[in-house]
Amino acid sequence: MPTLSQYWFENGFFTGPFNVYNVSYPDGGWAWISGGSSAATLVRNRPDNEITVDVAARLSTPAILADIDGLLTGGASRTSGIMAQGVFWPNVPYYSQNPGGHNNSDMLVRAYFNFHINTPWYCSDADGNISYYIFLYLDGQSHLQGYVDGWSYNYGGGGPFCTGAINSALNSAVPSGMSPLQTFLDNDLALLSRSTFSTLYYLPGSGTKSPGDTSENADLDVAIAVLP
Amino acid sequence: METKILERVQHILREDGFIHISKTSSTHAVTISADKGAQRLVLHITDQTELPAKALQNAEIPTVADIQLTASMPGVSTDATGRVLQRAGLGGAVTKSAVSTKSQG
Repeated sequence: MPTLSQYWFENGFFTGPFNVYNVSYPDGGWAWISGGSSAATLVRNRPDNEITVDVAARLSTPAILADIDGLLTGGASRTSGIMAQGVFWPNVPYYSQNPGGHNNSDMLVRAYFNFHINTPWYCSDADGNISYYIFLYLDGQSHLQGYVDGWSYNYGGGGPFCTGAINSALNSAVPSGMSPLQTFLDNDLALLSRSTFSTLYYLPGSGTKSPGDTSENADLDVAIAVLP
Repeated sequence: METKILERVQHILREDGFIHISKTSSTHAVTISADKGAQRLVLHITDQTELPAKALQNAEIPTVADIQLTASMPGVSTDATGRVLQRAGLGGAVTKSAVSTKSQG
């Protein structure tokens, strides 16, 4: 049976904590959901044949975590698991470098994790996050394709004298993470190479279809959804 | 960036009995630290303010000429914080047959 999913975002559309309520209904029938207070809402009618991929869970493989940990050297360490978020193109931090790179209403997947960097005694330690942005699309043959569109980092701390050294290390390490991520993406998409799809969209959180109410956070996870 | 002065400073520090002299270099800065008993010294030279953030688009994005459909919510526009500007919006399921080919170089 199809599922009607309604999302109530506490802070803003596709942002922060949200509640989702799922209710299935018979073909040709109807469903209703009431209640909920929020800053924004989203409703999706989700057919039976919808296929979802929980991005944060999918990326949290031992191999990827090992690749990330291998990138971070010299007193740097990962302090979180991999998180994922759906972001509209204008909110990607390098948007201004190429505004026409995508449509403004396109969403990208931001895969990111937190890090900590130890510094010498004369600087404060640094804490921040490293992000990779993935762009997915259906090609002319209806296959799901994608690539790593870019990267970013930001952090607090490192003052008063260590931001230069931290930046030099990150400017070298972070871009080199795109290649293994692209390889992982290529391998995953290859598994779907025999399948064709008509629709592609993102759902906040894990993409759960579990009946009833679930609380998740759109800043921590996003699901890719496709329909044959 | 001219750093010869730092070599002279390191020499002076050694002559003056400072130990644990360490030098950290980055693209736009060099920092020397040393200590002598309870005294600790830091000398920092830089030619650029370093911001704790950076973002770049992948320089090797594949040339894609047959994008038929993206994960999109047509009509949605957001402000700098990601807040959606409209009060409401709607859309049917956007499918391949409903969109035109988009080229991207």
